[in-house]
Amino acid sequence: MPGGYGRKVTSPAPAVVARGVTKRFGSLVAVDAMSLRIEPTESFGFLGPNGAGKTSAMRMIATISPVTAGQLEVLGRDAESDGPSIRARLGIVPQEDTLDLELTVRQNLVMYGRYFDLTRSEAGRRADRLLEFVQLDGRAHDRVDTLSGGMRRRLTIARAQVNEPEMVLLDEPTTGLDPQARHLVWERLYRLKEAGRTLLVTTHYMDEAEQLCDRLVIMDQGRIVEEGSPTELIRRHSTREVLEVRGVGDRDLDGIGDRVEVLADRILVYADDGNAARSAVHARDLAPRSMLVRRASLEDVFLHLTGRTLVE
Amino acid sequence: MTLRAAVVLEHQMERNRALLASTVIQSLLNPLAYLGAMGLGLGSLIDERTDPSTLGAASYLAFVAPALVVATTMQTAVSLTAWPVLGAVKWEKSFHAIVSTPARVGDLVVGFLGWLGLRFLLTGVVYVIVMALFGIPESWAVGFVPVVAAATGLAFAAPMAAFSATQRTDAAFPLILRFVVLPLFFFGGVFFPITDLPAGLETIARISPLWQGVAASRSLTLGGADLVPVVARLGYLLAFALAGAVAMRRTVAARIGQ
Repeated sequence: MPGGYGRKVTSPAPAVVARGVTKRFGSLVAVDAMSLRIEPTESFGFLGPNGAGKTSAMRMIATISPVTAGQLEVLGRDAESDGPSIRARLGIVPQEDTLDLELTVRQNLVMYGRYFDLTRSEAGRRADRLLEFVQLDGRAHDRVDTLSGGMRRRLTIARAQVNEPEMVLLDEPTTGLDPQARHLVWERLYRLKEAGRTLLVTTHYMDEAEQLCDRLVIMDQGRIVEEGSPTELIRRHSTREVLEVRGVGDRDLDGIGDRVEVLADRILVYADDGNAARSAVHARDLAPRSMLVRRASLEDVFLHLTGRTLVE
Repeated sequence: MTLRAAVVLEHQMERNRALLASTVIQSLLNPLAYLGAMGLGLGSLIDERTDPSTLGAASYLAFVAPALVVATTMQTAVSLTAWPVLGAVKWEKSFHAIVSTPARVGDLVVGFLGWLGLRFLLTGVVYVIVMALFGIPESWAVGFVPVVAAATGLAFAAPMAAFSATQRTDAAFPLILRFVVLPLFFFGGVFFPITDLPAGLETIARISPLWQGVAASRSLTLGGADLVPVVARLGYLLAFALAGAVAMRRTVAARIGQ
């Protein structure tokens, strides 16, 4: 209920507050003293390579995996003691679809809804609406094992909506999908974002992070190494444009652009004006195999921060 | 907790609804085949050569029948908690999906074992009906045999589920079936009295949940059951089931928390 006259309307609790949250598996530190704050209705990303600790962080926020050390609040409640009431308000899309292969597409949604105290008829109504939302209404009575990977992903996303959650957690939502299926998923997620849901996304795709996230953290080896909006991060850690050169030595490019990164198969020249850098390379008669000017991306930010590429 | 455990049970029923008909038919054909072959076929040979009253039964068939219901429940229990549980934590991850809702691991364990118990109970009822068709029961107390079958089933199902949830592969399952379940089936007092076993083996058989279930089922079916031993045996079986359930809660939580 909104506050009455003279009473301050309190803002809703932050979606996530983590202070020094750590996850250990034996001697392995999967998440190392993570601290962050995520606001309601924000779309927040964890970007990093495989093994960076993104999934472990997500599973702790989902209250499925217990925190080893530190303090974690989700939707204003303590993750350790209030798991069930937190999960009642979360939509969880795990990395691997955990759909029930013994049930039909629609039964998967109805049965899942039952765990959130919905009656069968209410769960059924929501199931029909959600199947339409993810464009699977034609497959309602098919068994799950007849669906393609992209369809299963959409069904998992629909299943995570059945309790009308305040926050949706998506672990690698489009990994393993073909480009068309990815765009379809992104489009659905964008609509959830528009509807005011808080989204948490882990990804190792920089384009996905740029598409979906208002703000993100870059993770590497269990630690948060940087935080900000995609454009902020690019401005902070990269030039506006990047010239990719193949087939020349890195010493040949001395003095061109602000700095260079040497990768196995190409050299990246960081320059605000990529075309000017390209002209400078041409002027040296180096005869590179190919040259390409592109906008700087989060990939460049990650490379600058860690010296490695995201997808290897 | 009880509420969400009930949803877990409902979920299991929904998953098995398509298999319901085959389950019922199987639990009908199973006793018919066993009682036909072991009881009537083998039994007529045995009854010709020995006096069945030394077994405490009117016939070999009557000796074997109340034990078979318990023994087949044991086999069903182990197979339903081997691959299906490993699948639920490793391949299909249906247990992960359940605890992504407000349900807790404890709800999952209670609901899952509750479903199995119900299933064992139903199989037991079908078995008792078949025994009645053969004219075996000598006491109305046979009505409690399904309860004994369910308790025996859970005494095996819960510890086995706890074990399966720790496994990385299914390599151990055939070994358990071959070196635990099968020997118990043959030497656990189903086909001949355990007093005929060498002393060491007799002790092992006597402490096994199977023998406890067999002894309770036999006395309830063949009459002359005293309340106290039957209740004690049931308690023994339920203690196994409870210990297994506690262990299952730990191993499933540990597996999912990884």
